[in-house]
Amino acid sequence: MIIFMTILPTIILFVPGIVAEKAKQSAWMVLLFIPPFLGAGVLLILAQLEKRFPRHSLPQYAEVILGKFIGKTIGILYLLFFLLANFLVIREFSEFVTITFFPHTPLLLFNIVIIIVAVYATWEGLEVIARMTQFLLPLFVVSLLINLILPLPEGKPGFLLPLLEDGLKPLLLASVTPAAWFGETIILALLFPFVNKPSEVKSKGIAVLIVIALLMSAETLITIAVFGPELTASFFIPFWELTRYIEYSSYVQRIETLITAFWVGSIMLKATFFNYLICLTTRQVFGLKSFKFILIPLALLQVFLATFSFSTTLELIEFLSKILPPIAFIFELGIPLILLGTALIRKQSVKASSGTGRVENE
Amino acid sequence: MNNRSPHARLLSVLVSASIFLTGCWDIKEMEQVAIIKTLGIDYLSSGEWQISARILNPLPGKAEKGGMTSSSASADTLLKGTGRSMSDAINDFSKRLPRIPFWGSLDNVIVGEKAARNNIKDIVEVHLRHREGRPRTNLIITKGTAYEILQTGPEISNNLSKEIKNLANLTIHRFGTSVGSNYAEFTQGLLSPDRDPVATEIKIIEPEETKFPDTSGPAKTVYLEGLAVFRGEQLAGWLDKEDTLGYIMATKKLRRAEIPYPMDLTPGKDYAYLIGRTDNKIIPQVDGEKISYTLNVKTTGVIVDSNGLPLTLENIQEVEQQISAKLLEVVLKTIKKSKEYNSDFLGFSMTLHRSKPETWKKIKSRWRDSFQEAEIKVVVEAKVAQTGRHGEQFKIQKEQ
Repeated sequence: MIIFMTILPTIILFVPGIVAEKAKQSAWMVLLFIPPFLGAGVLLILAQLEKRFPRHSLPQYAEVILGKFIGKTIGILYLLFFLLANFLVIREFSEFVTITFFPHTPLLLFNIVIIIVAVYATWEGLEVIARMTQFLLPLFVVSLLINLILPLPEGKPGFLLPLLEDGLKPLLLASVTPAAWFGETIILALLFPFVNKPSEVKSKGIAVLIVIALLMSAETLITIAVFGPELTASFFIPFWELTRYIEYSSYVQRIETLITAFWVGSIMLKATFFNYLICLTTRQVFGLKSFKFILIPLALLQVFLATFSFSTTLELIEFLSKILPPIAFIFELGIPLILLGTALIRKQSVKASSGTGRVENE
Repeated sequence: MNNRSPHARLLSVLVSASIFLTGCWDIKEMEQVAIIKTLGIDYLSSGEWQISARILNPLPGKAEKGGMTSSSASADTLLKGTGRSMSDAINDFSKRLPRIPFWGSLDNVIVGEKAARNNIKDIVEVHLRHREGRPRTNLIITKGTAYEILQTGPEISNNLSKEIKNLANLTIHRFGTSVGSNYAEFTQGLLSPDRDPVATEIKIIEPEETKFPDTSGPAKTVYLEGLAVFRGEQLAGWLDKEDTLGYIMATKKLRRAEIPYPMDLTPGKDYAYLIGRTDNKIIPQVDGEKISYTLNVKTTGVIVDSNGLPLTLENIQEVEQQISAKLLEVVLKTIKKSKEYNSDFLGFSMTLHRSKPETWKKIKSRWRDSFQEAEIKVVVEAKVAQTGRHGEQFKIQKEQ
């Protein structure tokens, strides 16, 4: 479920536009091919590592596999990666809210509000975050479905033709950015130790990835059917425009406020979650007993980064679609793959009973 | 924290939440906003933009005395501004507004012919880029200036904006004189590589009926008829009422329509065919280098206004053929206009692109020429499904 809520909120906003720009009317197919497979690949690698190092998280077994120094370095790199991911999430959130609802309110305020929630939930621990997910997920999915079903009568299937006009190449190019988002299953690298039944994670995780892929494909499909490929590509946030297009006589209209409310809830969850990961990684890498005292400084750092790292929306979109994917691939696929490879060659593993890596929240 | 009661905690959460619910820097009180409902965009010969707006005051202040009763005729204000850019022009009238303009409820944008010829692309883009602009706002073109349109009054609705909005969205497609066009649809046509957009045309009428002592109404009002046709971003020309009917039959799948078409085959014996449903399909054919299209149109309708025409079963088949032949002429005339304007607003090339992508790739760079050269065959099949509530005509006994 957490994977679901981690991947979906970001993807939902920007993906149809980014994908449609390159793959035009066949964009919906992009989300069915490479990205979910990448996500599943990451998941499988992690599951293998988990088998060899039960009850260890990524920074911990990195130290076992590659030695203390390199292991620590990898841990710190992951810390930076999560930090990057999270301040991007926070920035996406505040950017979205300012574009759509509050053009005059400074971004800083939204960044602070979201980080307050994140810090509070992190303080309370993983269980609270999981309960938040349980509460928000149904609301989010229902609002998403409403939003996908209502514009259906406006859709013109003709916009989806011809299929694969320029062959498969644009599809491949277009899948880079969404693949990076699907790769966010990497969060499991840190969560495996907390999962009660690690054996179920693989099958459930893949099921979740399939559901996400289908939902996103449906979203892209419907957006293109309503707006046509050219217009979809030119919108910043096609999903939002789609909601705004829903209008049934004078009663069912302007429902974007409702949908946005749930979306804000879910992106808040994502930010919380990443915030938790940042703190957790910090604690594990530096061997701290508790992360409570670093919560506030880390939060301030994120607010600072989220507010001042980009000056315009254009820069953010550019970064998200061009610079982030390669970085993300290294961390999501590259490093776990190297770790697994090394572990296989050196035949390393840790017995579950040894319990050295047993980590608990608190 | 724990020794406090849960109610106190809940209350403190609610109180602190209310701080965040005010909208912070973007706070807008209802009595401080002016809702812009209809916008008129003109381009003056001096090279300046002129923008006029119909503005609704949600909670009228003291200016409108008497409240609901006296302000029923026109609850909205007309303001006009000029400037070197569209934003300049808007600013020009906004400076007279003691309220904050709110664009999220904009129903219609009327574009004058000169503005449409000058730069329709920017007019569309400004709206879709604007944070409060909605993709469903109607985009309507007029042959004169938009300012003139905004000076008229409504006949049935309580303000002009509502009148135009309802004409465009609720009624006009049923009568077949025009079709509504909104920003999203128009932009699709504008951005697509294989077809051209059309937009609704608005006209002014001076109703004679309001001049009688017991009738009331505005001296001038508006109606929608015809379409403005674009070639890419150029305004290519106009379609009159009949061409528009051809456009509707060739492109729209109408349901619940009631479009009367007069059949004047024999003088004095006119009858009307009421088109209820239309269906259409364009089939592109490629034969070597030659591209041709077949347009199949099917209509289903009713004859109520028979004017002495015997409506027996045998007769109806003949009537159907007459109607088909007549409607074929209409569609052919629209296609002729399309070629004349060199604008593929009927979407022939679009079907080629969709069903024959290989051929499309070859002609892509010169698709307009290819459309000009293509042979277009039209088949119209009109059906008379009903003859109203009676069978044959009334038989009136003549006195001996």
